[in-house]
Amino acid sequence: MAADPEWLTRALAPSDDAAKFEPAAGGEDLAAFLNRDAATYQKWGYAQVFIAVSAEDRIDGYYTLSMGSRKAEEFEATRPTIFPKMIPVIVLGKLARHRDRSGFGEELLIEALERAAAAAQHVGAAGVSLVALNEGLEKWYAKFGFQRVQMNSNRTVLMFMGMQRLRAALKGEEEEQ
Amino acid sequence: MSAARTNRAVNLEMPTPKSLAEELHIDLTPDGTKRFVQEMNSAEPLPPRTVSLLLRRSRRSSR
Repeated sequence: MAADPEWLTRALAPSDDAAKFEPAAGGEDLAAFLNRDAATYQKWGYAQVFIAVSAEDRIDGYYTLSMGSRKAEEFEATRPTIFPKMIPVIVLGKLARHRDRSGFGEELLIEALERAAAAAQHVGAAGVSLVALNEGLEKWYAKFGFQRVQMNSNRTVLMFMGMQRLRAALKGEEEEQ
Repeated sequence: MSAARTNRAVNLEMPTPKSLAEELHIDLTPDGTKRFVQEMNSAEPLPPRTVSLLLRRSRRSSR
């Protein structure tokens, strides 16, 4: 998908040495996931793992996308006429950058959103959801337009971006050209 | 081949990690459902910087 001369994202392959990924501060669990679990997730279809590889063959970051669903409680106030109890979403499961690539998380997030919008042209998805693990991350994702949906019992925060808003942003590009 | 990669290669049994279930299947509370649907229905543009970054990315991809 990316045609950037400095880095390229592609699906994780068995030949990639994920153990060499050096995460930004606080990203140790995300590095452990990439090294220990990512290939397994990919094998079983639990997630597609996209790694960003630099010209020097270094893993600069990664993110995962999965199909998921949110079980919604029925309510009458603002729901659409047709409202399934299980709402399909695309889940941004993980996102991490290399410790030396400050600001690169933003690039990865934008690419993940672009991929999510493309996937939603083929498989129904009401939007992109993620779980922010702490307040700092919640603020970071909110900056890009994700909305807080609820705080979970483990104090993480479920966030969501509707597909309509994402599509409108990408449609703006077509009108601009 | 490093030890880590060897371990990964032999450790491809189907996992049922708790975190995965949490990521993919979180029950919404009634209030959470309300906020979720509000966002689903929202026509509010994304923040200008997000739009700008998406446009730049999209242009690059289509080249």
